[in-house]
Amino acid sequence: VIAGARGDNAIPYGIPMRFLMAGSTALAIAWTTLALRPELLTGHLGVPAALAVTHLLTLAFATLILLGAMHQLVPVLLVTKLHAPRLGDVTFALVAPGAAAIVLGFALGYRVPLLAGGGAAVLAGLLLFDYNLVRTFLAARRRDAVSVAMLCSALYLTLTALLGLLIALRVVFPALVGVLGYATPLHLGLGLMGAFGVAIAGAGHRLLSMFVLSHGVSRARLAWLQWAVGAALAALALQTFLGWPLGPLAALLAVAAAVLFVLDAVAILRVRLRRRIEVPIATYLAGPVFLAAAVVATLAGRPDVAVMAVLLGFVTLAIAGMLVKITGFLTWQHRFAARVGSGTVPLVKDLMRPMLERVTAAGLGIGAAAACAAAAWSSTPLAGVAGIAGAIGAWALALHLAWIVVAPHTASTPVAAGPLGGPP
Amino acid sequence: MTIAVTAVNPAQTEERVVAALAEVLDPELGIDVVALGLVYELHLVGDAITVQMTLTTPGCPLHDTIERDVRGRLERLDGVRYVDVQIVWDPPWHPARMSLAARDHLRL
Repeated sequence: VIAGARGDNAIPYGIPMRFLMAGSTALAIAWTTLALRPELLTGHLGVPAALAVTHLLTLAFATLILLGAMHQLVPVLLVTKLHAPRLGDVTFALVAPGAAAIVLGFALGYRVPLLAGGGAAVLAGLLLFDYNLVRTFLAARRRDAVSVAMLCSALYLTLTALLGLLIALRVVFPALVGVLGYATPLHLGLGLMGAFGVAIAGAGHRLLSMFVLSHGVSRARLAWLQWAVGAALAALALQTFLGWPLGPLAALLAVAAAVLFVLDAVAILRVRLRRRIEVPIATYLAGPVFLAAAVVATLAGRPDVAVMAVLLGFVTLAIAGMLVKITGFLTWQHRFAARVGSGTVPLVKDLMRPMLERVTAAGLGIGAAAACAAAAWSSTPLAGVAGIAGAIGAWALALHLAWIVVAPHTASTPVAAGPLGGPP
Repeated sequence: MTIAVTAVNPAQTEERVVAALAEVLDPELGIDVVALGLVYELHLVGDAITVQMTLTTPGCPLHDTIERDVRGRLERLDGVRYVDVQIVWDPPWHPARMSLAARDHLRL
């Protein structure tokens, strides 16, 4: 799933990897900022410094990882070539600096030129990616709930960027205030639930099934999840732009989508053949725990804590877990696949460092949990713990990815050939 | 893990071919393709071998690698000139095709 289903569908290693490496570095910078300024976790999320960190996490980390993974994943899922692989370089050249400009624009105190310029660059990059994706999708003969999830996620991501740009421009064009209304919840919903949630659900369904060897799991839950997210976002849009009094409908639909996500993961795990759960997979599976925390926070009237649980917990842990597996596979394919059969070649797991996997999982998990608790109870000590733990976890992840990519790997695992033959 | 074999040339024994295939590892699982039950049929005719096999999942990331490894190892056998590796998805692979030892290995 990760690399090319066939060689002629694979894209150059450097295209996804530059997204993945830049994204993981952004996560480390974001958590380091929170370690240095833990008060951002307990204060109002709308202040420029908090918005800078939020966009470092959403745009520079999650978006870049998502784009990198989709460049590789989508053509494989659709069993076709990516329409124009080299457009991936242009997408990166637009989105990465654009995201940096937006983060800087918030960090320097809401500098509209930086926000507008960065937003325009990100939007242009995402539109280019959408074009590439839609052309690929149209050329495919085989589509399923997973590939549709990828497409929907990309479109939600573009709408998130568009809305974010318009929100930023309200300062310059006051007329936009009347048109947009209070669009921040919709901006958040499109990004967290639409772009990241749907992508994680779709890719996670496929990757989790593959990594734990689960077969025959229905994709109906995934399809219903997409409908629930779409309906929730439609309800939010109607409330935002037309003022429809839909009450908690969007929140209820979001909860339904979260429940479907958990049920899908449970269904996959119940029929898995690989009983032992590897640390990166456990990291991925820790993500939905924070979805439950987000539901509780929402019911308790603390949307700020819910957002933190979804972003620092669900999105970050789910991505971090799969990121290690994806980087391992891509690097193995790039460095060792051609040598198979002509000498001793390491297995994919020989590229991984278990200690760094555990530090990543513990650091990011404790960091997210402590951050939610710090925000819920306005606890400065907990915020400090969160910042330090999260920074350790994020740097462990960045270091691990760098290790996987550049280290001189050797085969250290005894192979299980031959003796495993015998009766089924 | 049952493999259907048709052999016209006795010089190419089933054991020899299966032993070569058992050296082809799934680099993610660390288990060979024979123990995984990925090999469905072998046709040994003269100096040609046709292998009909599958992978654990359609869109398997290791499609090319495994196919190339199978072809390479069989082409290195004495007396073999032609190797045809056919990846099929019908019937789909099922964990029940794995050897007991391979299943135990994955349950660790």
